[in-house]
Amino acid sequence: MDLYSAVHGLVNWLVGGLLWLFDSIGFKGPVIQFVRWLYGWLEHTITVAVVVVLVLVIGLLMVVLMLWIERKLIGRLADRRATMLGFRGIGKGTGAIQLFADAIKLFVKEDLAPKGADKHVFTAGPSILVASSVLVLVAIPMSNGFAASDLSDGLLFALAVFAFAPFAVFLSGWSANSKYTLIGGMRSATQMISCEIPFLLSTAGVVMLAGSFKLSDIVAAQGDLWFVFLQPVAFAVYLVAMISEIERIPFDLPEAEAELVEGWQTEFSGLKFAFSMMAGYIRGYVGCALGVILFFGGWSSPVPAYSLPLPWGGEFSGPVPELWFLIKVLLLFMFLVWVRSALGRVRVDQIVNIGWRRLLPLAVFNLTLTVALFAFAPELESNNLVMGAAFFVPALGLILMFWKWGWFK
Amino acid sequence: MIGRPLWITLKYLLRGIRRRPATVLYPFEKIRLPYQWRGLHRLDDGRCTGCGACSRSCPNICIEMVQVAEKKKRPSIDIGRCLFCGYCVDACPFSALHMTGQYELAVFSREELRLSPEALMKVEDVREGTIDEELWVRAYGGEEIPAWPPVPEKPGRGKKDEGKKDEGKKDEGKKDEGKKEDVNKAEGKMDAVKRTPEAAR
Amino acid sequence: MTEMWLNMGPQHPSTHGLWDLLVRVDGETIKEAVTKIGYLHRGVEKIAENRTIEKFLPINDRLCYVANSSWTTLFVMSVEELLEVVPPERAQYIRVVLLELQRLASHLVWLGAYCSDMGLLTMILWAWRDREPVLDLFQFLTGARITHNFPRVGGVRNDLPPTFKERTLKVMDYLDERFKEYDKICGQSELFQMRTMGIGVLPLEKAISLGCTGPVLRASGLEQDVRKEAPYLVYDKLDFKVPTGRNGDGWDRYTVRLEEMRQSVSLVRQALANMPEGDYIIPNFKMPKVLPDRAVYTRAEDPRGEGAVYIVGDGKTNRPYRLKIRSPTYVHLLAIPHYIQGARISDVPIIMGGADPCMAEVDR
Repeated sequence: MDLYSAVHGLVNWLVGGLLWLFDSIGFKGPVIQFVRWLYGWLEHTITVAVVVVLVLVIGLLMVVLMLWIERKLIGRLADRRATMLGFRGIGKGTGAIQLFADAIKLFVKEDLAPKGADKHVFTAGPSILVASSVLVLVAIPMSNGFAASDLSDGLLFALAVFAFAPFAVFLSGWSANSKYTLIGGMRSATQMISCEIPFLLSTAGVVMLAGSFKLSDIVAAQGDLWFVFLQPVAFAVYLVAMISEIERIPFDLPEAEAELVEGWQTEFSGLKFAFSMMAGYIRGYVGCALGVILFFGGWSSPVPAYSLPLPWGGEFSGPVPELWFLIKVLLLFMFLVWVRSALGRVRVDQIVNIGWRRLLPLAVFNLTLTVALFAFAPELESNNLVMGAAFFVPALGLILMFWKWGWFK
Repeated sequence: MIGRPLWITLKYLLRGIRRRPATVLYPFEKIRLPYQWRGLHRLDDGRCTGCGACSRSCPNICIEMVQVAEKKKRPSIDIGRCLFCGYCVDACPFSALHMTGQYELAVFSREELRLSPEALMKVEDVREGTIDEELWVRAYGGEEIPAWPPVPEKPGRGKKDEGKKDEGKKDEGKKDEGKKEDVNKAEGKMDAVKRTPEAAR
Repeated sequence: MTEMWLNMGPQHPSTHGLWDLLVRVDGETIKEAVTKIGYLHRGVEKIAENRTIEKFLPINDRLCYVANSSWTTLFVMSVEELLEVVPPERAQYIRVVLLELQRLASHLVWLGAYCSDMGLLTMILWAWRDREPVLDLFQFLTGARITHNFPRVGGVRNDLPPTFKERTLKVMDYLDERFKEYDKICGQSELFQMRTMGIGVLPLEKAISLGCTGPVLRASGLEQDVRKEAPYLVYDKLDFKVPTGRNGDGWDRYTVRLEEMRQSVSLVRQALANMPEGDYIIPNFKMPKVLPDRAVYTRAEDPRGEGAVYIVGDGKTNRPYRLKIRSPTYVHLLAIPHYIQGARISDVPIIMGGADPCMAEVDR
């Protein structure tokens, strides 16, 4: 059963209840006929609306959770406690109240536009950013039926819309009529140019192994062995390119705080700044979710199936797939936070270097190897161990080579 | 490469599970202060004679001798101008002023910053906190460090304090505003005051 | 087409103070730069003409908010040279301990700010966390964390409190451990090396001709240290090395300062071990009523370079006739436009940080 039919059933039940209520109160027959006819028209629309709202709400709640995790974790990695203001009392809680305080503060601030800025584009910039990031949430399933729409080329759609955001960054950087934002916007364009192609190419090997662009098919194809073991090089490239697309440290040059005061976000205040921050975290969630689906088995449980008897009868067979998916996404995100706390920032010419001279050859190499294995040894496809070895050994060789060579130089 | 930084931050994360991180949750946890800490002044009425040595030694002219009763002058300090340098404490021959550990001195208006002698007499000597600042050294693997030495005994009127000041200090020579009073006259007055504690030894 | 004047202006997250660096950039490459300082000028030298020596001493602490006692000690040394008095040996050892602890605190602030300018946010927290034990030592010795007001003409304010020696040695051991960790997160991190190697190269001849001193000059290759050339206090009796770099880029400045921190730890240990018993101030010392009619130039090794004080006394009052303070960072900041050509905007915080600006002593 998938989300659509579940929600459909729920909406049916609710409308049925509403009609029964009308009937028992004593509304006239024509009213009930009218409502029934209206519902016949709008059934699909209402169901889809509820589904989309549900997916969005879960996505945004995940963003809040990720914000909190990032703050606490980056504090602990740096040997300090972070955000200690909690609901149970100041100093005793978990630190959740800080997020609400931030949100309220950003909402009530004055909304400025610099003199001479292109007001319409300036306002549209953060909106496009958030809109394109949220649009990707539609295509990402959380389990076999739990998705707003499990498109048949879901991966292509997700990657395409994901790549739209740097354009919005560039727009808002240009339109603010300020030198700092201009430099920030230009840097964002440079970063996108250099890291977009490896990002897309690294997923090509996965698509070949799975045989389709549909995300649930990709997860189903990882039933035996996760693709991270079959395509380690692709995973490494995907990780680096994803961090660069999301604009986190070590690749947050458009927003480099020390050089350009907040970069392309300098002139934002209030809600626009809230949008840009939110968009950053939504894209982080989306990137990690795609990574989990492509390489870590999506919503499949890492432990073999088991079932424990519950004390009140019935069985417990482990957390639902959605929960496994969210846990994996959060774990991958925690790795991103760890990287943020330990590494510095790269320069603009260094990121072009990384994108074109390091990531792209690796992605192409990975694709070539996949194609070669498929073309010349198709019978090996089912033997996962051999496949894994065939991929792992060159990957290790490459990594060692780069270690000696200098990974980033 | 990037491995070492990642490893060392992970070490701190794991270490922080067992042992407290280096955060002092001010204002719920405060640090214990040593006895030399230069915070808000405290006036000991029984020892002050109103000689004005503190007022003359202040580099910023913050201390003003006000008349509180017939033939009785006491210092009033403007902590808005005060540098908390400790010269007035060093200069007092009778150990009537000493500096406590109070540093939370924010008020709502400028007039409240000028503390009258009565307010100075009521200042509490607050030094105790909830955390010893050796926290960091001890928390990171040090053995027991001896506790802060106790506050030295303040001798009676006329005698100088052993722990904080000593004889032969040349600060008697610096009671000089250089603006209004005649230099020699101030010097002569200070010499008179200085000789009394010496003679009392 | 894309040439513009960018104002890395007085309000900037990475300038460590209030100064303005105008750069003419073409894309991201810098063609020309102009330094503008003076936003923090308070007229300290003029204040000195209206105050007696003792009343001016607390103001010296405000001459640099990260390395206070080095300026107060320098001023006191120059007054002592003017009056031709020599403090007792124990006082000199205590001053050396204070100066070397001050050097540690100052370099830790520098390290934190340098790393945070290139995105390593963890390092600033660690460096400032490790500065806390040093500030606690100051608090124990002098009574305040930053504005110590400790040296006096003829000695120091008070003797070492009991248990100061054990605490200091414990803190030195703690810092030795921390330097190893800094090496791991900064020195061996490839991203840090990528950001600092080859950035802001200052060749040796240019450094000498521009007047750079201190770690900036040592990073360019010359082994020059006032503590070795013209030893003051008891530095001729203590044994330490002077670290140098090779190229004069950001990486060399980092290694020079890290090594200087290690040498400071060793100096503190030596000074505490060899401290003689005795007076901590010249007994029964009284300031004369008038300053002699002479002028004296005294120099010392500030954590930022070579600081100097030129004090002129007239034979009539006990106030100096003229006080001139030579601040090393003043020279370094004005020298930046000479070697910043060709760098990128991303390198500007690294270059600024390499000169270790502390604006209070630049503008006085």
